[in-house]
Amino acid sequence: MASGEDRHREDGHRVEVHLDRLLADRGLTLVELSERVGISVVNLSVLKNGRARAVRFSTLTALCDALRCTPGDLLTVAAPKTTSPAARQSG
Amino acid sequence: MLNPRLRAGVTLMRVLLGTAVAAVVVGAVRTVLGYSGLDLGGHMIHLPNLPLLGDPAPSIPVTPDGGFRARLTEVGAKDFGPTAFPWKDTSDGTRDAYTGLPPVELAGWHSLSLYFWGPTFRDRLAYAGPVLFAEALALTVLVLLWRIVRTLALGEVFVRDNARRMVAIGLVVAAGGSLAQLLRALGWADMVAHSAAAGVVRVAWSFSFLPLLAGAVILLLAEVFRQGVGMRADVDGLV
Repeated sequence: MASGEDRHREDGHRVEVHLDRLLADRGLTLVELSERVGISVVNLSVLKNGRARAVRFSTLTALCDALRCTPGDLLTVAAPKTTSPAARQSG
Repeated sequence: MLNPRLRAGVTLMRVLLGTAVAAVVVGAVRTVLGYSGLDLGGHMIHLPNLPLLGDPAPSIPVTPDGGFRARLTEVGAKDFGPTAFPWKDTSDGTRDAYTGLPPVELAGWHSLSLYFWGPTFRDRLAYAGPVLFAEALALTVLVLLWRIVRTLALGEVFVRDNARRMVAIGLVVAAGGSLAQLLRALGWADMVAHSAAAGVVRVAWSFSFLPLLAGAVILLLAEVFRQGVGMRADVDGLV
């Protein structure tokens, strides 16, 4: 199974979703969040596990309201992977 | 999990398709075994002369040809009718009185039909062959539709395979339907040309553009479907 980073590369993005950390910090379960924002547990699971390819603004707004956070708390863009000097030399 | 309304719709489609398949299969059996088909049952299969079960003999629509008036004058008939082709009893059975060929009968008022009593196997093949071809086409379309409905039941209808199936259905309807008409016309013409009615009547046939039109509509829907597949791929993974 592809790693999260491999999956991101396959989808053409480096966006990381920190939903699991925010849920833990707020003491919420995925089911409770689903009930609050009106999004199915399946879709929230897709988002939490990094398998989502796009997020609607309405979904983002509902999540930020329920988790009392900003989009920047929920989503970040990982730094691009750079090759080490040793790897560049051997290449 | 399908919602109840969609599940009911899928069930209804399956029932309708199943009924259609059964009707085509029964029709094909009748074409192969029946009196007015290939008669491979050898008269062992008795089909009562009921409108829903078809004619007791092959019949084709005809229209008067060049020798029609002369024939009516010869037989002394004031109007067209069964006496246009009188029969006689011979040692080989009932035959056409003029040609000695298997007997035929003309019937109808506003539209004439020529019945072939005692057709040869060549006649039966010319008559039933195009019918079997059309029935095979119908069965092909029904099988493709069944496969599409199956994906609907799984909730995955906008897939590439269904777009291809729609294209196949469109081509079968347009090309196959048109070819079936041509084969039927050729078969009928062959029957009349080798019968006691040759020169007296000819096949009354016209080409219908309905299969081409229906096929074009289906191909248009197939393109819409194909674009739906692309749109579905775009929203795959959208939360």
